[in-house]
Amino acid sequence: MKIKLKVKHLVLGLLVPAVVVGSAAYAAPSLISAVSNVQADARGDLLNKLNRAKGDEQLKLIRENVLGYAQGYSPYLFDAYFDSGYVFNHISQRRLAEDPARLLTRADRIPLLRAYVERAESDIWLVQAADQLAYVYDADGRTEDGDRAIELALARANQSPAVRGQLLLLQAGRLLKQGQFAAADSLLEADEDSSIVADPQLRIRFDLLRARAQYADGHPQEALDTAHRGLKAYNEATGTEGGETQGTWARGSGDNGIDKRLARLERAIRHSIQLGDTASSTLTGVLKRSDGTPIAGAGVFLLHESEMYIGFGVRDERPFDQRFMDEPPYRVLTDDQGRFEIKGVMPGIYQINLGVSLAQADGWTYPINFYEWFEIKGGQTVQKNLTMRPLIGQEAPIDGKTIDTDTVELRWKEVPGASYYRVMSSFSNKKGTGTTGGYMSERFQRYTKPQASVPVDRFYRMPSIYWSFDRRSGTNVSWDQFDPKDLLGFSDPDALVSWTVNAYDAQDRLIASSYGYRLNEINASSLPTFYLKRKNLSDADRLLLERKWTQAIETYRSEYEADGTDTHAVRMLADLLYIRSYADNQPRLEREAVSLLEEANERQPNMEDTYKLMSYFYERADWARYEHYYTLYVKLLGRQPDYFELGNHAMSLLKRGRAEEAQAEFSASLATDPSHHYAGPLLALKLQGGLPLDEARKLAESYPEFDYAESGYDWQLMLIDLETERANDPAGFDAKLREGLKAYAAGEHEALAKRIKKQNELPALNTFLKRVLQVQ
Amino acid sequence: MNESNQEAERRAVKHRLDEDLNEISFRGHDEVLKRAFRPSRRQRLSAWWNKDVEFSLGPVSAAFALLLLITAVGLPIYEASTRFSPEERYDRSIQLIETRSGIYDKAFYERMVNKHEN
Repeated sequence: MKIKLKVKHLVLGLLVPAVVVGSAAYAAPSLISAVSNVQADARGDLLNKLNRAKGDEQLKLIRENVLGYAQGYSPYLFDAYFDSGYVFNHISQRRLAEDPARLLTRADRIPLLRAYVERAESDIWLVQAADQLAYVYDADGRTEDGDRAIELALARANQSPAVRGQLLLLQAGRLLKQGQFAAADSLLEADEDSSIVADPQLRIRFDLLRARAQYADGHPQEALDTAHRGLKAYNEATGTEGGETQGTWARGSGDNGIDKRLARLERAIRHSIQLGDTASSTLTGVLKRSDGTPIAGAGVFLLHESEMYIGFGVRDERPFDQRFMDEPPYRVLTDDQGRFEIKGVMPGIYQINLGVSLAQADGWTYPINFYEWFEIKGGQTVQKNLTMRPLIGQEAPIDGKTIDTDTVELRWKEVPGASYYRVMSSFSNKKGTGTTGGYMSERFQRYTKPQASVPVDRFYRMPSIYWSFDRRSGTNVSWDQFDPKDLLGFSDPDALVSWTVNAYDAQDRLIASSYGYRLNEINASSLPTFYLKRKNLSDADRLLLERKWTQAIETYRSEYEADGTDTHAVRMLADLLYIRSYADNQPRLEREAVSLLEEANERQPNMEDTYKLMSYFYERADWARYEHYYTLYVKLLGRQPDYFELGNHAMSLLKRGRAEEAQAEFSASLATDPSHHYAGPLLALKLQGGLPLDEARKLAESYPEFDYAESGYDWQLMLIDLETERANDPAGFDAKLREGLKAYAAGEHEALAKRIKKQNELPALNTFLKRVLQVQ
Repeated sequence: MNESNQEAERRAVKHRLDEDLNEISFRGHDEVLKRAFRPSRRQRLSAWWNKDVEFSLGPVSAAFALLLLITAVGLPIYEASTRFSPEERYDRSIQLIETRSGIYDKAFYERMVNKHEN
């Protein structure tokens, strides 16, 4: 069969489209290809250098160029992380730019690392090379080659106990990951008596891993003993207190708190035994983009809540890769289909964090809420698929646009499946990088369409300081600690305002965000910033910027006196008088500030000032005026108060001794609060109302608390302890319980705190009451 | 000879005559054109543009399929063997900057900010 065509049809039909497609493909990733050409040249040079060298010289070059930078680091380091922490801690301190090995592909590294493992001397570099080689093989899906890499290094390392110890740890860690728990246990046990355990730093790592292996193998009591013995031995050998974690973790601690980690593991094992759920589980899943593309070679970190807290209710907020230098609990790489599997998982409450490459992160995010925990019960295989979503495109205002109208019209691209959106704005220096700048969270505003119309006055009214100083506790306030730009906030026409938008589904789960990695021209084609120039700086503002505090105060005063509707002047005047009242210790000025703000709010009632006054009177237990502003606030909200507002109000009712009303509001708050902040007070009030301990325990199970607690199981565990304590002398216990709870329900909190300080006979009850009182 | 035979004869003669004349005039026409009327570049291009090309569908499809096969199988192999894999293609030495609106390539971000300032 033949076909006849004119030349022009041939050209127009085939060649032109080919050229168009070709040049688009060439132009779009121009940044990346320009970069890779430079990289490719440097890579070629480096490979030439490495391959031409011979003998010891080659090993030295491999050490310097392939291993060197990674010394002391886990190979499980990624360019970008997605965790549930606050957004401003993603970037690690690690400086990739200094690492020559960044130029090499995985395929380049294998023969070099192999050569090193086969020929180099037995020292710490050998461990490093074996670790990296195994990692590279794993990333390529060649697990058995990875195992052999460690075996090969072990065979060559028998002269040095320290090196051998590290390699055994690597091997045991791999066995654990592969589900060979008993084998991991016996591998570590076999070396219990060797010289390896003479080194406390090494030994504690053996014990940590062994406890995990024993637990996963179905021997929780042995695991608990191992952890307990391990901690004791470490503390004796190093003379540290160790054990329980108290207070915050000193940043940059060289030891990285391995003993703290074992202590937390010990506690987690103990708790799971107490709760009667000890069988280990398996977690599987697939990591994909929302368009279905699998994400290969990404790090999946399954984090037990004991790994996320570094003290009582204190979250570890360091950049992710600084948190887990060694033996991160459960970490795996996704295969080429994005699949992952984690074996030997202890029952408990977890979060998943991700580590990916820059290319995988660019333009995408893995949305996860701060309180987004999930429970893995014992003896299960849990499937959890993870989806990366494209960053939300922000349409307007962008690129430092000047807004001089009465409203800011925000627009963004619609997110499929979004039930509502929230917008956050913050002001900063002109580069958008200031660390101080205020933050206007529109957490109370939900937008159901991909657009928002925000009155400029709402920005201008955002409080730059909350009135939370406390004269009784001797707050030390000086003018030096205030930056005039922060005090002016959004009212400074030179402040650059940045905005972000988050999308949520109907179950309040975060499903997409505009915040993330935007590394190429397409993803960073515009910046979501604008300037608010609805009004100019006043004379008083200028004086304030020059730090002429007294003159600024007087000028704001005369501006307000000249124009009673000048809400900016009166608000600034009130803030400055409030600060002065503390900085210069003049209580009279605080009263003046409060009545000025009340007066202005009466004239023009608004949510921001009402909230400020409401919080102020709450702190001072001025319940009549608190109630006045709470009622006004709810009216101004124009909707039902949410869990945060309900919970605070419930606490105010409790402090006033109105327990019944408080209980109803606590229940309402808990129904939608993902952190279950008020679980403790609700349990206390229910117990006071006569709920038996075992039923209270069931209630605690449905409200795992994540704000004050170190574990979502805390309230359950405390109630178990109460039941045990009660068994000894039910009548005596009940009397004491009633007495304590009665005082709590009556709002006599300070008196109760004093009383339990003196009591020691019922420790579980004391702990419970102390914890209930901590919830504010 | 009847009328119809006469007409047939006349047509046969005309036909022969036409054929002869045609041959003569065709050759002449071509020569005349060549000498008297050189086509412009544009006309030649247009002629080429409108020229018919004939393909045999069999070999064309085979060549196309082969090209597709080479692209589908060969390109990834080529990519994998000689270039950075997609996740390694980003320059990992770029400095990142964390701002209130996102994490950017520092140099690129600063260029953007400066552009808006001006």
